[in-house]
Amino acid sequence: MTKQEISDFCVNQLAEILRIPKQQVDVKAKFARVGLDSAMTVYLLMELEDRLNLELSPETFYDHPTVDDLSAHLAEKVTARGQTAAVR
Amino acid sequence: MDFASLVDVLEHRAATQGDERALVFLTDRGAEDSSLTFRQLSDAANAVAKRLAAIAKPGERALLVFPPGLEFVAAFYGCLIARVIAVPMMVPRRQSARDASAAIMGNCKPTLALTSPALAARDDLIARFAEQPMQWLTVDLALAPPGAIQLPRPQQDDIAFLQYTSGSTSDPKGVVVTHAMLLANMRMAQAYLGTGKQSTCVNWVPHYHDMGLILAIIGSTYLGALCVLLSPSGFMQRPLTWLRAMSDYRGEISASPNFSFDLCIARLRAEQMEGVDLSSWKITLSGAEPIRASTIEKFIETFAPYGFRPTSMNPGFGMAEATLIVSMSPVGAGHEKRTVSKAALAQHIVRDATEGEDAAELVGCGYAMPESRLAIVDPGTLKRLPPDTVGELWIAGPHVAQAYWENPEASAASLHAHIAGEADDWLRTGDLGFLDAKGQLFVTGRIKDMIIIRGMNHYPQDIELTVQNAHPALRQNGGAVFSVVDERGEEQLVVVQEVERTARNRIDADEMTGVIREAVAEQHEVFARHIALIRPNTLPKTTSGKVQRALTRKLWQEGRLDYLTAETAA
Repeated sequence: MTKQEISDFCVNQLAEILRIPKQQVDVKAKFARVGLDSAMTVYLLMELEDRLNLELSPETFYDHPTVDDLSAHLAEKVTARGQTAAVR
Repeated sequence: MDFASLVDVLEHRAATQGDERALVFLTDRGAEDSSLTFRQLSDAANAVAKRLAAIAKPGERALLVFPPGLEFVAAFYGCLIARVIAVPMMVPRRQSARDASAAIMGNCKPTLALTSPALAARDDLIARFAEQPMQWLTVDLALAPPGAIQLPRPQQDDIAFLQYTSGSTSDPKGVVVTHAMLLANMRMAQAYLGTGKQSTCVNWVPHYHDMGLILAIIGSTYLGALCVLLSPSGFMQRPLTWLRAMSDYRGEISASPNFSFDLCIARLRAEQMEGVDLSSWKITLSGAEPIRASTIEKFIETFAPYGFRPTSMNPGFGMAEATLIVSMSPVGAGHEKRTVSKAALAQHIVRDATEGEDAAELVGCGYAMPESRLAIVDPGTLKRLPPDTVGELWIAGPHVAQAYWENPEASAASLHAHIAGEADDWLRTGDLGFLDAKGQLFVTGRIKDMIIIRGMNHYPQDIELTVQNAHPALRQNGGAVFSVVDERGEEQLVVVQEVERTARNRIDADEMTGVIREAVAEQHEVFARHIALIRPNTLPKTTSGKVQRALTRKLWQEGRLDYLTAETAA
């Protein structure tokens, strides 16, 4: 998945979790500022794990605290994994 | 079996089934991390008691600050053996600036704190407790030499521990839990549920929560049954691990709040459920927060293909002031529902809904435990109310606490209440409900303003303070926090807050709601779903200046507050 696809996925999930229209999800707003509690964070994390087939820890969200930042990071991880697989 | 204390119970288990496993702690992936037999548990607890006896006198208080795991259990029983009063506490989160720990220490004045090697290495934790002069003891299971130590035994009425689950952050109330109360509640539950040594319990509820500590840990020792523990955070991430553990260990009993069943349904992945067989699961105590019929039915439907029996769901009602279990649906009975008229319920009358009428679906919380009594009382006149009439739930029995620690006013008001014209002491719960003609309890709401989200109690005044401290423009004593039930039946937080006049013209409403959401999530682990910013001096208050939360809720629901900006209307 590309960064844009991951970002769109996060926006959809956040809209669902927060029950707000997608247009209101600000990809540059910090998760903390949006008011996500830890149960919501875990929910988003699990959806991303499922979708990307990656293992993630809650720290990922502290290190990459916005949708923009997180999706860029995850896109890199996905690419890196693809390359490792190709080398094998 | 007649025991004088839990210490006698543990000794009996070590003597009669010492080589059987008492506890297993699982990793977040469900593998065995550690385990203890009854003898090993007894040895570990005695080793803790020996160290305690050297530095503390019976009756002193010891904080138990532990991550999930078996060290906590050894420390807890060690305190009981040494007759040091245990005070289980949540481990303060790194980010949170303010929590109940300072006020709890102010109330119970501990001289000791017990923790695990991993937490002892956390600098911020020690710093947080620095103001309270306490001796720290690190409990490590590897260090336990065998054998019991000779100390005077606790008596029935001795205090076992303090359970701080009620009261706000600034004014916490510690329920004084005695050995007699614990033994009474365990005896009642055993008689009511027919549980025994075979009743393996699987538990993910935190050990500082009465459901986790009493039903799972103490209850299993009482029965001589195996208790399998999972970490709460592991459960939150991978709830199916709980179900797999039920299957792997042939679990018979588990207790969990309503939200956890929704979580399992939401996280269901067929490939992760391969080979899981839930047919051994007989008793599921659903409690600690409002119970929804739709959740129960969806859970049954979802997990029936894995052997979960529809009759294995047992909605119940419990509270720390009554040790733990107050009522529960009987084994094998499943859940009972009542569909009543919403309009009548608003008038505190219970009438079955007629065709097409706006109806509320209520789930029965079962019947009073043996040896105990329930009453529905008019909170104003203190007179008993007849069946099918909503009033305050009152409880009497040997499992009811006699006191909150160092709080005679609250103890007298809540724990020694009297029904008009009667002499007996009763516990006033502050919860609203009714008993039907057969004596089944239905809980319909609360008198107090307490908010319950995911099984955790929140006091509005605590969250209001957090909001008002989040930004200088947010007026002190100018906010109301309450919850509303949304279309999915879940409690949602609403914040109504006045904004200072001087700041009004340069207020960015988006910025302000962001600041509030961040502070509330950080301090209380709750999402502030709705935030309404209003003009100064427009929040409903009594003439003496007390915030009127119920009226504020009504005005908010009707969209009739004096909003600062159009966007902040509901």
